[in-house]
Amino acid sequence: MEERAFLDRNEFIGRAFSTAVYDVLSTMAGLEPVEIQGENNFSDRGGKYITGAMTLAGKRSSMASIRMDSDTAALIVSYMTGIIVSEANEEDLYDGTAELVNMVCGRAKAALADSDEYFQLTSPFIVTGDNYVILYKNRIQKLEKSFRIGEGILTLELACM
Amino acid sequence: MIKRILIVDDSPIIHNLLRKTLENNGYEVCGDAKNGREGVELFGQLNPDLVFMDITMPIMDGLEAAKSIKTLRPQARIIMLSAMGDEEIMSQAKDLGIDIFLKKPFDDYKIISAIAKLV
Amino acid sequence: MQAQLYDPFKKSIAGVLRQMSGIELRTTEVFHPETEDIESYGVSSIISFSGKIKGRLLLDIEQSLALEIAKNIVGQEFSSEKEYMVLAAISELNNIVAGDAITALNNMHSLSLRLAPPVVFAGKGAAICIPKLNSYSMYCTSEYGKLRLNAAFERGL
Repeated sequence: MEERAFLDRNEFIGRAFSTAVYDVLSTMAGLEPVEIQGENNFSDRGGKYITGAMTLAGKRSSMASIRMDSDTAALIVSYMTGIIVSEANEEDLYDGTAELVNMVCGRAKAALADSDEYFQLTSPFIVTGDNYVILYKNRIQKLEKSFRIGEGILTLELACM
Repeated sequence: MIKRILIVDDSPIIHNLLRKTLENNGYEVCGDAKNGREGVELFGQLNPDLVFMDITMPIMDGLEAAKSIKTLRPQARIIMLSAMGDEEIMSQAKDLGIDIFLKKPFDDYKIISAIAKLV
Repeated sequence: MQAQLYDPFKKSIAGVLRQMSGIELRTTEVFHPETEDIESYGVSSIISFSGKIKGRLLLDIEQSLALEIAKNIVGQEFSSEKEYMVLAAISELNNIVAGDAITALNNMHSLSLRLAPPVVFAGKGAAICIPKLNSYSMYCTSEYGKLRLNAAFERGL
């Protein structure tokens, strides 16, 4: 029974974040992300990966992260800011990804504000490189949702504690 | 007499270290729980002589778990072992009737002398 | 930089590392503003905290030092910094350093800060960037490699 409630809770949070990704990308960047069913959809087109992450401090802390390759990040940042894709430098990509994480988490926070899952935002951070692994301590359940954006894939991950 | 001990902590490192210290000193670790809810369940099943309890854990934190355990068995002996130990947390633990509060990191002496105080 | 916010981290790191792993750190004793992205030494762990103010602590550790820390804490040799118990050991080190410093800050300034669980990552050449947040680093060395302690607060006291 408790296990069921726990899964329902995660589904509830996952839906709020999924909607937030869609809302932010469509309103801020005019992009139409399409959710892909199933796991392990992370696109690997070579080059750098960019992960934007934020700790969500609430009754139960969680970690929200958005992962994509640098071409997908450049496309999103370009649509969000008007910077031409080929002219987007690393700093633009990091700032843009951090802002994207901020907006997605902010939107999800508003959606969950009146529930038990209310959380506070913290500063987003960016990890980038060619081959890194991330371990979320306490991760008891991972929620992963992937969205196709143009030719790239954006993966939203929630490490729920 | 304290013999059988339950460890409740979300870090595999702490389980590893604490188990080594306790077993080297003749205690038996009768259960390992990785969050407060598991800790309460195992406490009910195993009826240990003592519980080492972390505070910040997923699903149910250590203070909430200690409260449930004290409700189940008011004379249960609990040592809190946490990275945090400010006055606010210490006071909450004291209100729950926690026997001893230890801050991480720890060494063998800190653990064994804390257990000795309970005997 | 408000030294009273950062000093507790400086006080915690060497003592906690010595007690957990027996490794001695030599520290610069001074915090330097970090103006560029941080290129990871090999293994990095970030822990956020929030209460009356918000902030985060980053521990960035060279691969050789991370492996030595894990070996001393866990009691066995590891061949890669990406192994689960190595990452778990660094994560726990960060948790305890941050917990110790936050406890001191709470007792001194009544900030009611609480820690979120740490995240840890490993990979040569990974870069960490925390936009719009001024951070300060203290550089430490040891027999086994380098360690950087980087802390940031969203506002002062």
